[in-house]
Amino acid sequence: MLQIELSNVIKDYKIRDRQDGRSGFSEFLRPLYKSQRAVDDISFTIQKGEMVGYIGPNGAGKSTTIKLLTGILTPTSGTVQVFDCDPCKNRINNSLKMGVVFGQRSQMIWDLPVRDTFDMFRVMYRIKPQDFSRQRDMLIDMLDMSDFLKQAVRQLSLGQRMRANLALCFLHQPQVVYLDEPTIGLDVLVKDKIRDFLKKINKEQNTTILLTTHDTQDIEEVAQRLMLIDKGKLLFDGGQTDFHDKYKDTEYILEVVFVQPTSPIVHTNFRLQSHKGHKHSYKIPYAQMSKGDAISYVASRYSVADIRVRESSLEDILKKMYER
Amino acid sequence: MHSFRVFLTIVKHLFRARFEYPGSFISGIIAQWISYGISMVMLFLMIWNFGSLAGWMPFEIIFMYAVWLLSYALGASFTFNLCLSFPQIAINGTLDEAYTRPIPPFLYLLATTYNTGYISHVILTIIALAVSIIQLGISWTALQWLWLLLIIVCGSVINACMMLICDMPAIRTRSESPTGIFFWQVREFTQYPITIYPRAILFVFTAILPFGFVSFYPIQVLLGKADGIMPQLTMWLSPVVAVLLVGVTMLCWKYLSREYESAGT
Repeated sequence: MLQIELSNVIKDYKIRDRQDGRSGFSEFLRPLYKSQRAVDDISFTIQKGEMVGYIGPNGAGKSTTIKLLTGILTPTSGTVQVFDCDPCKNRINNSLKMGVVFGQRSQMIWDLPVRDTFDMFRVMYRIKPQDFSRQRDMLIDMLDMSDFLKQAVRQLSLGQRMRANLALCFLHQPQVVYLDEPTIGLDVLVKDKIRDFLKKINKEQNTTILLTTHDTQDIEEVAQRLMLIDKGKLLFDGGQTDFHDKYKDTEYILEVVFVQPTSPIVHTNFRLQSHKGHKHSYKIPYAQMSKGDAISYVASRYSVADIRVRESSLEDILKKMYER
Repeated sequence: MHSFRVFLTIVKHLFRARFEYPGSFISGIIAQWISYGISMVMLFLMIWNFGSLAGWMPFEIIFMYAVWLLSYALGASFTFNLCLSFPQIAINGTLDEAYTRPIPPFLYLLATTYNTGYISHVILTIIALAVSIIQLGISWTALQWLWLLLIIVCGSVINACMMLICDMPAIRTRSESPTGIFFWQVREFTQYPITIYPRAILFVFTAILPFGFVSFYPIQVLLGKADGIMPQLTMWLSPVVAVLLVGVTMLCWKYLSREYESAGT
């Protein structure tokens, strides 16, 4: 079932144009403006139950896209359809069916315990009492929140606050959830907890999740589908393996540690990178020889102490793409 | 109806959050009592020395002042914090949050920025109202009591709307509002019967900055007064003014929030 559809969406911001050589006085009297394109002709669709990782460098247009989807901003041109409606024109209906978390921005009452904000959300999102207690208990359990439920929000750690924010955003069983950098600044354990939670709730309640992140591990573990945006343009949209196949290097590196000092392997596909005593490293093109073939070739002819394949990780690929 | 329930729930939690700091809450109340209490006593003593002000007796002035202050307190409890946040509202994400909630964004902002501190003004003015009503030996009909209630509601709406209209340009300037002065300083003049001022000023407080309709005009109905300048009908116009101002406020908000949607953060 189609839930989100963007077609040819453009979003321009009006920003101050501060030119060199203009005096402060003329800037005051006649400030100049120019328009800056944050989102440039983006089209995509998202089906119910998908988990989409939305990635790109800072300032690429990720948050703007989320603001367009949540009905905060209207597009300069193109159409945004969420649940077959324009989210800006049907804000209230749209917000009843979606949840959103913006980074570390808290949506809780600072001086009161988390459970009071739960109660406020129950009224705000018209949640039926039996649904409320079931969903609340489930979220508290999944996010391991029971030990800080009665503490004032101001006394919570960042990880606890983030978990509470996530729970709040799933409280009314939204069909779509937008998470803008949900793991920013959190320790590895909390990150893990959040990733497990997202996978589980996506599976159990078939919630569509769109998350932006700079943490490639979030993407690798959570998102089946990847969308890459840079300078407002959508550069890639597809599965994670497709992304790797498309952008990874054409060669991988094979590191071999031999039991005794050995002279370099002579083979047309093996290109020696370095060799120091027992330890050799070779570059091998994917197209000429698979990783399995290379490993068995070496293992069958030499006595090997250790063998390791290194290929470009998602992080390496992204780094290269951002640098372009 | 749902929005109203949400509104009450949020305000209830804000009061509970305030009670987390009882010392600060109570000392805040007492400080306001002292400050406004002194103003009221001074005003009373001054008029008492003069005998009357523009034909208004000391307790009539106190009655008028109490209605004036109560209307301000009730109105400002909804709008004071919101007006303070206007310069930052488009930058710090407050508006984003309001736009993603299932009640009208403006109502959400009013609720989440409700100022619980005005409870002190409300308690003080209710005491002042009671004292002045007793001292004036008033015997009103049910309809007159209802009118008192209505003018307090209308006065609160007029104050709230005027504060919003005057301070809202701060959303655009992202600093102080250039028109803020018309509410914060100019309003003070209307705690006295506005007939003590020249006709031009009377006109301003009637037709341009309609603070005259908060207490001076509608109270004439209750105290059986006539200013002899404006037509008799004027004293009945507070509800009309309140409704008109709500409309103007909504237009201002529509205009400024449209700017936000297209300008972004």
